[in-house]
Amino acid sequence: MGKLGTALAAGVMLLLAACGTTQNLSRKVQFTPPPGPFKITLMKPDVQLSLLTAGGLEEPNAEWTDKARENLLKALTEQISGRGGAMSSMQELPAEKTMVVADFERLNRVIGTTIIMHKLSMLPDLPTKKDRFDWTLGNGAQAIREATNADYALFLFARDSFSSGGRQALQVLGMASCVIGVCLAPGGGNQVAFVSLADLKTGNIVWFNLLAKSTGDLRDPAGAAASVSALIAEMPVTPVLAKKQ
Amino acid sequence: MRHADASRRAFMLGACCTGWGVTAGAPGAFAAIDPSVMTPTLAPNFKPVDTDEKGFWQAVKDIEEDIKRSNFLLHDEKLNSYISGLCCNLAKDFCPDMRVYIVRTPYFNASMYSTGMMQVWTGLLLRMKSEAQLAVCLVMKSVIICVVTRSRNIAAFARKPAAMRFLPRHWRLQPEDLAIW
Repeated sequence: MGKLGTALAAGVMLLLAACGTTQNLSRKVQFTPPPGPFKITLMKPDVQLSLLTAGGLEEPNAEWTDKARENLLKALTEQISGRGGAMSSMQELPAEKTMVVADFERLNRVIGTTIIMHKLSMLPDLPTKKDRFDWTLGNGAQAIREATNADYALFLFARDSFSSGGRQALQVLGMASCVIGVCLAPGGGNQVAFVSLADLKTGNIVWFNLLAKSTGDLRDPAGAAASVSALIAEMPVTPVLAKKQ
Repeated sequence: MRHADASRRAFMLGACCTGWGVTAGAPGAFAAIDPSVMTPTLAPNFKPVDTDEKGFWQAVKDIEEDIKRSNFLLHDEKLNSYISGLCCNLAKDFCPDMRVYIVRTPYFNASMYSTGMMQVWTGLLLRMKSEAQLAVCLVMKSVIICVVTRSRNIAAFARKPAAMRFLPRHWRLQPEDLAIW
């Protein structure tokens, strides 16, 4: 998991380098929330925060990660409920039921990576996926529905890194080298996050969004809320609720 | 017979600790050491203190969560209790710190993580002819949990800039050196 996550985060940052905004795929996805309240279950969030060392290595930090997980969960619950969904967390499930969904978490990791690589980056579309967005977890996803009694499953992946003192010193030194015309400043910390929403009746991925930026701080509740809101800002709101507002 | 078993175990513990001693840069460790006078450098139920090691433990905890829910995990009760029992017999006081997972994969290996997660691959079991052979492999893994440097070494290695890791020690530029600037 660690290796895939790091590779994914690195790949995304490389491919979306210098891109400070949120990539949005909503126009390609036909997601219409059901009329009336619906239930979303949050799958085990894949979150890791780390310190970016002078050498460029990401050193995971447990305290930051715990804080970010807590902040993201809170922000998601609040913002999803504002959209007519009721959030429940996977962590509330008994152990034998988590076994059922583990496969789908792994499958979604691969699907998410593929979507980012072939839809959101400079890599060419896959031959069978040109001009369409029909990724799916398969009919088997109904098992999650049976285990959780939810209508949708929300998957969250997030990585955030912060420069160490040594890294910052290197950046300052690198900037100084610009004086002679050759800028060698190494990059600072980055934030990469994606959410995908799967319809548990069909298994289809009905919503996907990616965030890649070099600002923001998931350790801070406001920073986490801002990232979540950027991620789900364009997710349609339940019609019933929309009328009420 | 019991005595012979005990001394073999002690011999392996000694051999492993000697190996560790050599890597830690103590050439004198080649000299014969009576294993019975050796003490673990860590107490059982060790918890990480440093920030980097805490981060490492958390990352490993996530891997363990994944392993627990893996389709490759063998759930055979008899086999699990046999292997766990063997490990406990070898690790003694450190037994409660260890969690053994038997993973179905044909490759020849076992691994120990600093948090106490041990993976025994079925490929290892395929190749072992006796309990003694298996015990040699498992004690080599078990001993990792009682050595103070465990993930410290890995963390220190990871902190070094990638290009510098394989240079001779005195050539390496430490991040700390740069921070002084």
